[in-house]
Amino acid sequence: MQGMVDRQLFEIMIENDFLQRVEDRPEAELAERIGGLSGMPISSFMQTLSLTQALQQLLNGQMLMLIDGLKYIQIFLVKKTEKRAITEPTNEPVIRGPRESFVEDLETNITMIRRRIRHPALKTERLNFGTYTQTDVMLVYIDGICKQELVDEVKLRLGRIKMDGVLGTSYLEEYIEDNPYSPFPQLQATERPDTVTASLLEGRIAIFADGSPIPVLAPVTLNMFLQSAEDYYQRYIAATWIRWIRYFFLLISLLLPSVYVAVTTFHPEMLPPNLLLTVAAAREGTPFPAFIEAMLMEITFEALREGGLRIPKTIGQTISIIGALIIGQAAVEAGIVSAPMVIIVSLTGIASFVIPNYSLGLTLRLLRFPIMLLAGTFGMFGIVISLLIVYMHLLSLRSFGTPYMTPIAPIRVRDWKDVMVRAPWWKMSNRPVLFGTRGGTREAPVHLPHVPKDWDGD
Amino acid sequence: MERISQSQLIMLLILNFYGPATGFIINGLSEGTGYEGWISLIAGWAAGLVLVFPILKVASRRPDEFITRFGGQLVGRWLHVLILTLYFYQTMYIGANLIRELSDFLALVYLPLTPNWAIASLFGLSVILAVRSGIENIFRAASGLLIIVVGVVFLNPFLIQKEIIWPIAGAFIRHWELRPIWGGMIAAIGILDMSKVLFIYPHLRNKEKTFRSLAIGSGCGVFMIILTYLTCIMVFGVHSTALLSYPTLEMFRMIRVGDFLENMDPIFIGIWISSLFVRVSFFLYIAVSGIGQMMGLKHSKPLAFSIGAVMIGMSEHIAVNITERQEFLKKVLPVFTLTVELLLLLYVVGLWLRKRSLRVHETGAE
Repeated sequence: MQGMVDRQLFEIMIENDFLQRVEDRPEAELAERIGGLSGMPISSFMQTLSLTQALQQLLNGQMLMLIDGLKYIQIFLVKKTEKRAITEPTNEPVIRGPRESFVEDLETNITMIRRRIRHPALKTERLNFGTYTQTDVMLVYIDGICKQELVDEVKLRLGRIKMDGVLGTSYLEEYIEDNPYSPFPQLQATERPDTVTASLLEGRIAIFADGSPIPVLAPVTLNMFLQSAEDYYQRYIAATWIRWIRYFFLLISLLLPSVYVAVTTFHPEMLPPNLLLTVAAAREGTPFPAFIEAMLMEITFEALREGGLRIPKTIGQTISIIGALIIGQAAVEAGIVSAPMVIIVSLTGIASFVIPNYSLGLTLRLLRFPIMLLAGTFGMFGIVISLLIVYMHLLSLRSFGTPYMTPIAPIRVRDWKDVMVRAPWWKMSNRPVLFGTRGGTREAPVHLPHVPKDWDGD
Repeated sequence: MERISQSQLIMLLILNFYGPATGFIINGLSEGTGYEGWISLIAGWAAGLVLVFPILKVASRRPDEFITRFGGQLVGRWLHVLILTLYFYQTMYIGANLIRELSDFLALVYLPLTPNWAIASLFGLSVILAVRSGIENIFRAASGLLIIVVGVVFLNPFLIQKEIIWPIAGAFIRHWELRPIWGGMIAAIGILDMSKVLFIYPHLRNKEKTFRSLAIGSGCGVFMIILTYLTCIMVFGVHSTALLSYPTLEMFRMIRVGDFLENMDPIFIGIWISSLFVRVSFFLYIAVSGIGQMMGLKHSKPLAFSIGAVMIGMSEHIAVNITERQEFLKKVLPVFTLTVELLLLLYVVGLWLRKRSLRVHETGAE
């Protein structure tokens, strides 16, 4: 297989043995001699009786040797494919944590995990998907912390998949979710090896696919999407504060335009007179009702965001300046939209990027539109009802058996240490309780350093 | 089957009693009982517990079976069907009435140009979706919402303390009249109806603690109602509270948080609606599952939309206007609720007779 073979190794083999004249010998001896003398390490050489396995190995980039009269097929492991170097994570950057992200190569990714968890309990199970792609998929978990029932459940669900090709973990994700029609993500995707390692230590299971730099983790709860790797590298007080900022901006991202529409349309009495006058003056010349205005601006913002992703980097900045600044400014000056609305939409836009998980941010951006519609027709009542519907939906979701809203509903106060706050590490004594995980103690009680009583400071 | 913990039961009961009670009965209670309203509530709570105790005994005889299935063996099939029909009608009526009260209130205060049916349908839709997602989720919803609701209830007296007329507080312990307390108590038993637990009994974990949970849950709910009631009276006085249509809302309207926001009431109302949502969802669930079981269905879920639609329809037709509805609530509903609740005692009698006949039979055999 040209392009998949280590040419250097191949050439060494040829120079060493393959070109040597070998006298007439029995086939088995010949095969052994070729294998033994080809200058390759013993780990790079194997035999098989199965034609299917041999063919699979050939397609994987290995070299086969068939000797007339010998029932074994010799396989020389000379595969070498080009792969990307390990780079910094682009979607989940951190200030103080490690700067490594997964790559497309499965073996490299597993090695990155093995380098972090050097324990025999770390288990990997290889599966294969895709009639044509024959993609290798790896289940990774820590035996004992992750219960066998969760592993069995994952394997059961994966076992149902029969498709022609798997080009990433997202292909599998949609097959194995508990509620496939929900807009909310039910498995956590990450590109960070430390995030995967931390999740494995909580008893969760990771699914890697060859060719995808983004493994998925199961089970997951809503609050896990709001935890960033950064939280665990910064001081816990600052991390707790940032976490609350994130919760607040989650609400802003979901509700701000709707609240603006509801307040200006139905409940102006909520605003103090000065603010009310300012808003009224700004809205005086605008031709659209607040709801239409908000819809227009939000959809424009979504287009800008999507455009920003696709536009070539070299002209990206120019376009964003034109889009965000010039059009925004011109629209306000022309009296098409009001200035407060531009502020609201910008704030909402920023808020949606405060959420560490892109999939969840996307879902919230999507849900914003029906909520705006209800806010525009029923005011605060519409917002409350839409929140109740979303809340009930979240309650009905499960990720591999774990209720999505755990530990808020159902309440598990012991697990609030990593939800309401980010407790210091010496207080994180227990693992969170999820379906299929053992929970249990994470660390032994510790005595923190303190100043000896008889020490006077000198 | 056993999916609901006792703590979840407590949390649901708190919201179940608090929401509608503070929203719609404060004026009626104030008119009927005045300063003794809090005693009526406590007396009603105690009487409610006394009433529910024997009913629980019936449920605990067959802890894994629904009363709708085995009740016929206790009182005879036709009487069983009659009792259940009345009971589920009353459950749906109260649910429909709450939807109507909410839509009347919102149409009056916030959405004057929106038709009642639109408000009722939207609220009803959210309730139906909750019922479709299952009893476990309704209980979980209650546990998540409780934190917010309790926060508002306990924050309220502090936020409103500038408006409170403290000398009124003395009247709560000086005024004593037995007759209004009695009337208030009868109404309170209807409001604090705990018999619904009979229909979800098989879903409960640690069933032996159910009575304790009922006492704690309803007790906490009553405490929160009393807190809101007393605050209302101390802000408006007994007569104004009785005359106002929605005194709790008016109280929320008087809250000023600095100079930043003029009125916080839409936010408070939003939080309050969530407790109403829990109650109506719970009631609709009881009706849907009960009717489904009566009809011999394995799963009642598909009935949620149709029975929910009937409830929304009922809410539109139970009264011509607010005055008629309020008159009905004051004069008929407490008696109706109490009668239906007392009918459940027939199962207790049935159980007792059955036990007795078994004993006689055993003695005869010896």
